[in-house]
Amino acid sequence: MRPEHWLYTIPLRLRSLLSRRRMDEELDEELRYHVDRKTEEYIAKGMAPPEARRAALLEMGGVEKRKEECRDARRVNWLPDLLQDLRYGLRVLRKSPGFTSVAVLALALGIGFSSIVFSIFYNGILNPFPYRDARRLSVIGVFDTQQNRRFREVYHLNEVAAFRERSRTLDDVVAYAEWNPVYLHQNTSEQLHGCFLTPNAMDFWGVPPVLGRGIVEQDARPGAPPVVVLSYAFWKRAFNGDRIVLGTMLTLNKQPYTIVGVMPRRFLLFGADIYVPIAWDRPEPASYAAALDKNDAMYFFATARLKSHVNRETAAADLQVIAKQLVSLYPREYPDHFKMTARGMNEVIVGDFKQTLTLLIAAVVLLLLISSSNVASLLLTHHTARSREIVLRTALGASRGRLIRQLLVESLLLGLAGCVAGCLLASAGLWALRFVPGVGVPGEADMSLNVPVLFFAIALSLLTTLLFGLSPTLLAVKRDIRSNLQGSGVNVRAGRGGVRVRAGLVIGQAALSMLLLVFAGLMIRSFLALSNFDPGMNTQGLLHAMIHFPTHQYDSIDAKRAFFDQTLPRISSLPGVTGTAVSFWFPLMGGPRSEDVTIPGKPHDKHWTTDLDGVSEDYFSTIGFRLLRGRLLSAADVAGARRVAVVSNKLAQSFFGDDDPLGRQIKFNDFDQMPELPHDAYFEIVGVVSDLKSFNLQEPMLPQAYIPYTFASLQDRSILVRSVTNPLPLVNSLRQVISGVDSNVLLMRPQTLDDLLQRFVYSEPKFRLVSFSVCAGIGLALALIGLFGILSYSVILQTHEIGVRMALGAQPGRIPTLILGKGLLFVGSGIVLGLLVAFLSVRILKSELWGVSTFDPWTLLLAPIAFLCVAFIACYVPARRAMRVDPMVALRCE
Amino acid sequence: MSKPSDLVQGTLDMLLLKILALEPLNGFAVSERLRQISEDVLQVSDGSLYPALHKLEQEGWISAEWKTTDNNRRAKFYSLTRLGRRQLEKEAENWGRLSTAISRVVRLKEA
Repeated sequence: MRPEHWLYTIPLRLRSLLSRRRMDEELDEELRYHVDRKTEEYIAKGMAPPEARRAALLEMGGVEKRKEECRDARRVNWLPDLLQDLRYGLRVLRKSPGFTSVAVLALALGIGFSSIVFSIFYNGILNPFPYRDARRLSVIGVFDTQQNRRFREVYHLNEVAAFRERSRTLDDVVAYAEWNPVYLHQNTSEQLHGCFLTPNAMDFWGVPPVLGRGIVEQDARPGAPPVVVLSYAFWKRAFNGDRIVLGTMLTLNKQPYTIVGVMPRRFLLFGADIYVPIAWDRPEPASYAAALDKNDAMYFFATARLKSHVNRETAAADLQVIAKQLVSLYPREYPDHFKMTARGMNEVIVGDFKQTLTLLIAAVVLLLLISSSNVASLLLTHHTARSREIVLRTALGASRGRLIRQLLVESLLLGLAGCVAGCLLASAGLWALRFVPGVGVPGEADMSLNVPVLFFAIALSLLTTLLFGLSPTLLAVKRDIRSNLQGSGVNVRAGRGGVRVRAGLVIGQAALSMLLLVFAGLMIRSFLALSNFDPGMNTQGLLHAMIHFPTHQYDSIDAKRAFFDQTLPRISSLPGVTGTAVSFWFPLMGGPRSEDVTIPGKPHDKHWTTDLDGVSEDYFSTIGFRLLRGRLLSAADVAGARRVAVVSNKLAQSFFGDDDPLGRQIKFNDFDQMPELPHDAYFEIVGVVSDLKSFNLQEPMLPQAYIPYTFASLQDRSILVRSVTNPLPLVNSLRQVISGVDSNVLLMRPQTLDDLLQRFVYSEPKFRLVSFSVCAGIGLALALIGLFGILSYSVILQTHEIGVRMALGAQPGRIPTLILGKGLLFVGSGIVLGLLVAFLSVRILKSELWGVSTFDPWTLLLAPIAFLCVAFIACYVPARRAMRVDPMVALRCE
Repeated sequence: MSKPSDLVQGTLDMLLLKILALEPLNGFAVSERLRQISEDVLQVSDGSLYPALHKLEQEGWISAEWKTTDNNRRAKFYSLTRLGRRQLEKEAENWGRLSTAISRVVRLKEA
């Protein structure tokens, strides 16, 4: 429009808006003047005054309606109208708190829960890493095709360098290895968890440091001053996040390193405290011990970034070619038949958890369906109950558009309240998630709310609200005014179509929540089966800790033995301690492993792999093995480093079958490949003990062999302590005992076996159990709310009918049966439908279950029964209400 | 809104503008005048007259003023604004073209 036009109209609009009352008074007066003049005219024509007035008004055609049309002509009327609608809408919602709170709750649960789960999925699975082009990152692995298992994912640095130089499909490759130096500060020493990085690493990961600089090419040149980059957590812990650390020295393994940078919070590569550069072309250490000696590492992890548009299969084929060339260089590092793999970094770290989350998402989608259908059915009920009000307002001159706008505002208010509550729920849930153990997502993942997902859930909920908030309005508005006004308060006939829709919704909800209930039931059963998991030992009161020896001081086995000979008796005499022993690694975690064994008289084609541990004589009593045949290791065996072995029942059965293993010889072939270990060493089997289960439930238990820990001087050791009470308070006494023997020896990472069991065995099933149970619980609650709603509504609809029946002499007892029957019909159809779907879909749960069949009869029986019981309550309340209908009141309310 | 069905859409606005172009009038007088001029052919119901007037006022084509009538009562008098005069010219011109065209069509002799 032209600006000149605005000049006229803007003051007019402002006036309409601001002096609304005066405008209305003027309008009144104007119309009154007209009617008065008209009346006078008719009187002049000879009509009686009242008749004349009536004729004048008739000609006007409804004064109020005309006024409304004139107000509409003002164009700005929508604003006061909107405010009025808002006020009215709020009043309506406040007047039916039950409906409002249930609808808001249903919306909030739908929005909140789906946002939480999708956020976990996105941040934890799809995009957990802060690294550059994280989707193209792949972990290089060697896969043994003969034994069908992953052979290794660690390499000599030369191998990684070869992959990097010769590959045509990889953008870049980075190598990193564990290095745990002793950090000396103010007379206390602490072993840090560190990480060697090749100098291209910082560029590779593409994460800028928060302070200083990352590692650069020059840092790894020969003669360059040693530098270290700190992790964010270590910087906070050791230096309180002080910025002046840059340029200061960190003493690691008695050598000074200059601190040059600090990485950001989400850079958690390797979970390390510190990062130190290592040159690609540094001379390879001769042995594992030599590597430790020279602050070097033997084996490195290799992560590659694929070139864009290169898929993992192509990259793996490319690596295969290079690996074939490397076999001659490192013959024992490759199995006879192998293929190279390039697994996505997410997949490596997230692994099995992905499946759980995918299932959880399916469950949440079901939940979202239940919740929105619930809101839909609530709105339908609510609005049908108000159809008389709507009709009345139409009769009083409300236009259709105005009514629609009114209901739109109401639905919108409801939807917005639901959204706010949903957002609160979502952020509270994500916050609470930190306290749920065993959420197996990478530590780098930033578990913030995924905003697009939140918007999606909100949009979906608002759409549902608006759609179902409006549809009854359109019906009501279209309906003939007269028939509705003549009909009863709630028109039975008009309600029927709505009832059918609602019945469908209720049955659908019941079916969906039945499905969730079956899933949750299977998870619960699986968890119960797990809690009966027998690791083959009593984990209660058992503590494990690493013993770290200072370099060069305990190189000989005699020195180590002397240390333990002094330490173990002192530990045993601590109050509450009933046993203590030396081992290499945790029991149950599959410690050192020999890929193959030689047993004279037992030739075999395939590799015979066995777990292996070097232990002291008290190991068996401390853990609680049952001796099946022969004898255990004796003190003399350990002291004299005799070549004897105790094997597990599984080993005896798999390698000897029906033959007696006692007195037979066994050689662990891997020993021959390590310079520090005895070569061509045959051990005589002296006893057979009970099996231990592996903590990794998916993996089959390997055969196990135990030999005296004195067989080699290699490496650090660990100790096991069993006490009659919780062993954690013992840790300080243990530290004192050890520093009493030698203050340079460190006690590291003490943990109870119960904790390990929780972490490795129970946490994931527990997470599944909790999440699916919550889903099923919410779904069930929503379905019951829906059921309750429709039954209550049908009681209202049938009040008249019930009244007539009772007046005609129906037994009061028959009335609730009527309602109950109807409710149970809905529930029954829902259960049948849900079970049917469950039968068809339960197979997908197979990998999530442990120790329970997918067609677990208990679950399939108990879930419907539980559902029926709760559903009965939801039916009973409306049924009772129906029983209390007073026939007189029911008939009079017409 | 009930528009008189025998009035071509939009012509009511033009008629009102034209009537008010002659002299400022109140609503009642407008309805009287409309009937007189058209010799009762154009009957605009009282119901649709006022919303139409209010619409024209909001468009800025006419302006309103409270005045005393000859029989000493207060009434709202509408008069044409400058914008309204321009609008009237435009609509009258359109109408002229349209009615000529229509009457030409209507006068076509049947073959």
